[in-house]
Parts: sequence; structure tokens; C-alpha cells
Amino acid sequence: MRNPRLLALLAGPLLAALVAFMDTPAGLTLAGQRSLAVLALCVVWWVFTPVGLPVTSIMGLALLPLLGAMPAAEAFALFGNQAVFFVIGVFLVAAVMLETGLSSRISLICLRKFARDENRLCNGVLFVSWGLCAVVVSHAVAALMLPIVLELLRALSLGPRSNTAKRLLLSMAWGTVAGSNLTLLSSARATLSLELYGTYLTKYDLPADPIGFLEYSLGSAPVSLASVLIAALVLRWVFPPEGLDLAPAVKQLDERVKAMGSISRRELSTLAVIATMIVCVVSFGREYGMGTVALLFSAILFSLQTLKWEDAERYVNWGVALMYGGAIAIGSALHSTGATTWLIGVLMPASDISPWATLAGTAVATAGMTELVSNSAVIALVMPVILPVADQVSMDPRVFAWAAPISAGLAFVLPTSTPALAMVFGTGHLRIRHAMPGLIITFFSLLAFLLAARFVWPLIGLPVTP
Amino acid sequence: MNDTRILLAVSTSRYSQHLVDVAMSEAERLSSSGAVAIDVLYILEEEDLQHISKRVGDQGFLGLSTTADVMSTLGAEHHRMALLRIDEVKAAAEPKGFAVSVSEVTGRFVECVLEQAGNTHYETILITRADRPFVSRILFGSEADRVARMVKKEGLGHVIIDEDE
Repeated sequence: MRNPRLLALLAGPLLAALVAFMDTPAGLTLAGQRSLAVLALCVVWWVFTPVGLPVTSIMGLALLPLLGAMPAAEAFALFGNQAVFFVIGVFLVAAVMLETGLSSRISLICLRKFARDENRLCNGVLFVSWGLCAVVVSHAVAALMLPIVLELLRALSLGPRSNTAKRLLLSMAWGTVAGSNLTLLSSARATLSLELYGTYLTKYDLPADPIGFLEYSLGSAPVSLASVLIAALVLRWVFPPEGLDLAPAVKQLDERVKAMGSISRRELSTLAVIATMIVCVVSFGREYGMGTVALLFSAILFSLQTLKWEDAERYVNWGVALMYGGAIAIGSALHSTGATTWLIGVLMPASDISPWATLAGTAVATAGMTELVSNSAVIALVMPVILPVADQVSMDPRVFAWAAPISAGLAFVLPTSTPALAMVFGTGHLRIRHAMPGLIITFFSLLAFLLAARFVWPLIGLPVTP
Repeated sequence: MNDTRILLAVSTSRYSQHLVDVAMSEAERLSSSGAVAIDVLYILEEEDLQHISKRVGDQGFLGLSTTADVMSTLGAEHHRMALLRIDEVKAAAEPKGFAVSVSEVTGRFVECVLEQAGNTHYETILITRADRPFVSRILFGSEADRVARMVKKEGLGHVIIDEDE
């Protein structure tokens, strides 16, 4: 087959039609069967992306009422949920940080401090990329850091055979991948996961138990920290220093820092608004909803003219709202029709699997999938299916609200996994074999994840086993 | 009398030092029957950049401005890489007395190679495989193999495909 896009485009609806119109299996409702048909189409389209991710979401959303899986009013109402607006807020924060130049200033000043020898410079790129992800969504950090790293390569005259060039580029990519697990602002997938967990509770009339910004970050940050430290060691080991004279790079950084001048009033107000927003999300996010707080502070950014609407349009792809809104509606339909509970009952009839084996298996499978598929799509596919498993193996389903997004952020090898890796591979300096040591980072990060689940999560009230 | 010509087709993702070495061996072999010239065709593959643009926009959900900045940054780096690699070919060829001419084009690899090979008669066309998993080549085909098939069909010269280093 020489046209994989067309194959995937046709396979999705064909598979959906097959699932939708086969005899309804015992124990599954017709609405549940139709929900699974929508899921089948989304699996094929999200995995092979014959169309953009948001297009798959809106197709799924349209099919839910058309096939009778969910009333139209209910499906469309899910578009207005908190998670979608929090994600919009996350991207607006990234937009204002890029537009005002505040993120460039922070990264250049930090890199200048690190630029004393090759090791420190490379570690500087790694840790600055990682640290910025605490506030700015990781893909935007990658887009910000790429030109800075390439400027360093040019200043140092590093060509395609340079190990330092490879190390600097991988430091940027791996720093942002590890950083994507730092906080709820680091990636949108964690918010999607929390919302899918929320819809699961609602549909099964379980007590609402919202997970807060600080709570989530305390559970995910240790894994993120472990990943970045392991990445530093692996990079140092695989790409040892070449003995370069860093003077041209230092000069370049000095010139860039000097050209920026002193910090502007606009940058200061951006800093103040974002810092206050984070404090408010932590303090009031659980009570009023993180989406509400994000909306309020987005409006403040626009009111202060720190961010203009045309800037927001240039920096944010609004498809993000369609992608997440649609994914939440599809997840909700799968829960409310009992489709995923039925599916898990068929796939996992025995319930004697230990919770730890389930957790480890989920993490490994999710981390594996995310090397090939967008991590947002992985969450949209994994979460609705995995949540009913918790009941089968006597686990708290909350565990998966952390487990899925963290392990979906452990893709360190293939350019198909994240935009950051696609960008650094796109420079032409790297081949897949150069990023293969990323498997070591994935392995030890998974280990760190299990250790965090065993020793850290109980401290935030999240025991894996009751 | 016209020189015997070799076409060395390279791009950001299709280049290896070994390919350059193979080109020199081939030029030395052909030089026994007269002067040899090497035409380096450097292709800036638009499709590669479009794939990355798609990932940044559709999967990273970054806006048009950010995506355009990333593309322009990568385009500039591709051009710098092209110059460095062309210098490598010249450094290998010129001491041996082979003339090197260079052209830099933007487009799809297969089309660019076929167009160049159609305009000038080449004794040998040298290309390298992009670094892709074997399974991917089996499932989705190989552009290098496609060039070889088309060149053979059109009778445009002899193709040597080198494995990426």
C-alpha cells in the first residue's frame, strides 16, 4: 500500500461501521455498541492521523448523536467543560510568555550563567528547557529553545558530525519531554486526564473528588525530576565533551542578553499576572474550578494589554479546544453507556491481577504507545478504557489520573512522539540511532514512576492499593 | 569531448560520508576513460519541513506564527548543513582532480533527482537511503528504490543506493 493516509482514512469508518452494525453482544447496550464504534474510528484516525487530531474529535462528536450513543445536547454541552478552558488558559500563558520575550530573557540569562564549559552549557540547555516547562507548555518551550540552540551551534561552527551539536539538541528535546510532567501548565494531556477521570466519577455517581494543581504536581514532579537527572547522565555518557572553545557561544549569548535591554514593564506585568494566577489556581482551583481561574486571568492579561487578541490568534492553534472537547465527549459516552466496563469485562475476565502489575503494565503500554502516537491522543484513548480496570483489580481509579499522563510523557526516542523530538530530528543533525539511548531514560523513568507511586503518592493521599 | 558525469544527489536527511567515498571510488573508476565531473544536487526537502510543521501545529497546538518561526529556523539550518556538506564533497573531490558543480533546489527528492537526470546525461547516479526502520520501508516503500526504478525505466543512468551511515 503506497497511500497509507487513504488507507487509514477509509479503515476508520469501515471499522466503525463493522462495530456499529454487528449483532449486539450480550451484556452490551446498543448505545454502548455505538459508542465503541465511535471509539474504533477515533483509534484508527488518532493513531494514523489521516486528518488532524481535532478533526477526528469533531467527527467523533458528530457521530455520537448520529449513531444514538449520546443525545446531541449532552455531547455538545461537554465542550463547555472546565478542562477545555483551563487548556486554553495554559496556551495563552505560553503565548504571552513568548510574545513579551519574557521566556527568551529567562532562558538566555540562565544559559549565560551555565556557559562555562561544554558540560555545563549542555546541562544548562537541558535544565532551562525542563524548568521553563513548569510555567510554559512544553511544546512552546521547544519552539522557543530551538532557535537559541541552533544559534549556539552556528556560533560554535558545529557541523553534522559534532557530538556536542547532537547533545545540545537532545538536551533541549529531552528537557522539554521530561519537563512536560512537571505541573499542570507543562502539558495539556494532564488536564484531559483529570477531566476524563471527573466524567467517569460523574457517570457512575461516585463522589466528586477534584484533583488540584498542587496535588497533581506533587505526584508528577518527582518522576519529571528523575527523568531530567537520568537524561543528564545519559547525555554526558553518550556524547562526551569534545574540548570546544566556548568563547564564540558566550559572545553570542552576551550579545543577545545585551540586545534585550532591561526588563520592560510589560514583562513585569506578565510575570506578576502569571505568578498570581498560579497562586490562585493552587488556592482556589479545587473550589471554583481551574478553568474558571484560568479564564479570569486570561481576561486580565487581555485587559492589561499584556496580550492582544491578534497575538493570541498567532500563537495558539484553537484546534486544541476542539480536540479536547471532543475527546471528553467521547470518553463520557463510553462511560455513560457502560461500553468500556463491558469491554474490560471481556478483555480482563479474571480479577486476580495485582494492582501493581496493572499499574506497571498500564505505564509501559502507555509509554510505548506515545512513542508512535500524539500523547494527547494516547490519553484520549487510554483513560476511558483503563478507568473501569481499577474496579476489576480493587484499585483507586484516581491513580490512573496520574499514571496515564505521566507515562504518556516518557517518549524520548522517535520523532513521531512529540513536536520537540520532531523539531530536533528536523535539523538534520540526528538520526534515530542517536536518540536510542532515550530508551534508558524511559526505563529508569518508569522505575522512578513506580517508586513515586509506592513512596510519594501515599503522602498526598493516593495509595495504589487500599 | 564531453566529461563523464556523476550525479550525487543528497539532502538533509539523505547524506552519508560513505556515499561521498563511494562517489570518489566511482569517479576514479570512470576516470580511466577520460575526465570526470561530479554534479552535487542538494535538495532541501519541503515535505520534511511540512511534516514537522504539521506536528508542531496539529499535535503541539502552537499557532501559525510559532509554526512559521520553527519552519524558518529549520530552513536556515538546512541551508547551513547543505553548505557544510558541499564543502565536504569538494574537499574530497578537488584534490583528485574531479570538477565539482553544485546546485541547491527545493522540492521532493524523487522529482528533483529525476528532473536533473532527465536534463543531463549521467553515467552514474548516487543516492543514499533515508534513515528509516526496515518495517517502514516494507510497508510504505522507499523513495530511493523509487528513484532507482524510475531511472532504470527511463534509461537515465546507473543508480547506486548507499545505506545511511
